[in-house]
Amino acid sequence: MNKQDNLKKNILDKINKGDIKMKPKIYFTFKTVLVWAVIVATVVVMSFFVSFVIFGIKESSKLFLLGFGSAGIRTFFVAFPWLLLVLEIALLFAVDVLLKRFKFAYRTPFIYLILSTVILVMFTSIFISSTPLHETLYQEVVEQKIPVLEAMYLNVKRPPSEKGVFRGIITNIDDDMFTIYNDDKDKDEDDGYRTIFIPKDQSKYTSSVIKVGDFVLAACSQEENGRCYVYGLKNLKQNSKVK
Amino acid sequence: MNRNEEITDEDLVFSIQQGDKEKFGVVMDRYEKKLLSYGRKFIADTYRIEDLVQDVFIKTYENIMSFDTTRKFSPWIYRISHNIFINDMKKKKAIPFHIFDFDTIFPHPEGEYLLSKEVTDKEIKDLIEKGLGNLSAEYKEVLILYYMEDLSYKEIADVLEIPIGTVGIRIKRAKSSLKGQIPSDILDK
Repeated sequence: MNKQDNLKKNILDKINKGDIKMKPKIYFTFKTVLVWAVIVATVVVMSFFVSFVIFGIKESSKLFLLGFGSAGIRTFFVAFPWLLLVLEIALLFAVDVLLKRFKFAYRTPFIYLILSTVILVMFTSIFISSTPLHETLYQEVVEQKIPVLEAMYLNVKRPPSEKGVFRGIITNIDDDMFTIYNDDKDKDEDDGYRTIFIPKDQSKYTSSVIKVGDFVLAACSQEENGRCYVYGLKNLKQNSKVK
Repeated sequence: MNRNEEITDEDLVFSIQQGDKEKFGVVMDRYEKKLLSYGRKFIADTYRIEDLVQDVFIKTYENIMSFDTTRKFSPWIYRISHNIFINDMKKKKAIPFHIFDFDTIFPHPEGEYLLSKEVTDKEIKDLIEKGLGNLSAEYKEVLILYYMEDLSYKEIADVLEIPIGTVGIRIKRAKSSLKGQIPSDILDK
């Protein structure tokens, strides 16, 4: 018996004895369904995170920082949730690696696959953003109904006050400073009265532009004398009242 | 002519899927030499190749229910072989491990690198076989599948799970690497 026959006989013997068994068709069907379920779930999770970032940027008024010159742009990027972005990129690659099991995907250049996934995630995120999902979850977290999401949601609406960005209603305006008051009912560090100084060369922040009662977003930088000097101001709503 | 010789690979597999286990012997008859020869292009140890080909047949049998008999069988079994040979080489660190295959990231035009099948004569096959030693595994493989195993670009794309354009560019680059060893009149046909 030659080597070829030997190998063939050996394998056929094992097949007939039941040592080597065919996996049933249902196994492969289940595997395919499972892979697709993981892909869909990952895309949903990715879209949820993207829409959460959009919700956070919108609700905290962080987007206006981009209009505050180089200091504002720097603060925007420093306060950006980079960890979520890294997680998002990791999930993006995971999805595309899973997709590569399928013919339509491995025959497509990887860059197209990545771009298609990004577009799909963006559309799904925009859809999620148009629903009250994040606002509802935020309210549930505030009411301590979903403790697991607390770390994620609790400060999502707060501007990055640790980076000198505050929001509040103007209660008083002087020549070189104004005072804002904020109370978003969470008793954290951005609540209460805060005095913001106007640099001498920044005459644009005078009482002709801002008025008592305006709800503003103010970005300021801390100086050596402990005073916080405004470098960007956005009027979010006029004639607000301190409650 | 033996009756089994008239049956296509796909019909054989269909019979196996229906329970005719003995037909798997015919599949092994048809592919053992081809797979041993395919393995020899990657791995020098003959005994190791035989063990790996045995693994290929076992894996093929175990997974045979996942094969869609409306498609061609040979790229499917070569895909299994490719995975087993490459994994063995990775385990033995015979080939570098890449997280990304950069050739598959960006698009390459599918038609640009298509070769005429007329050049696949014995002479070029011999020259490729002699000149494969210095080529990297990814270039060796496309040449073997195209010239030695007579697979089409689409079938090679299915074996390697890469875009068709990437198959073309790899064949082109592999040929460029071999240029010093193959007379230009054959390459330029």
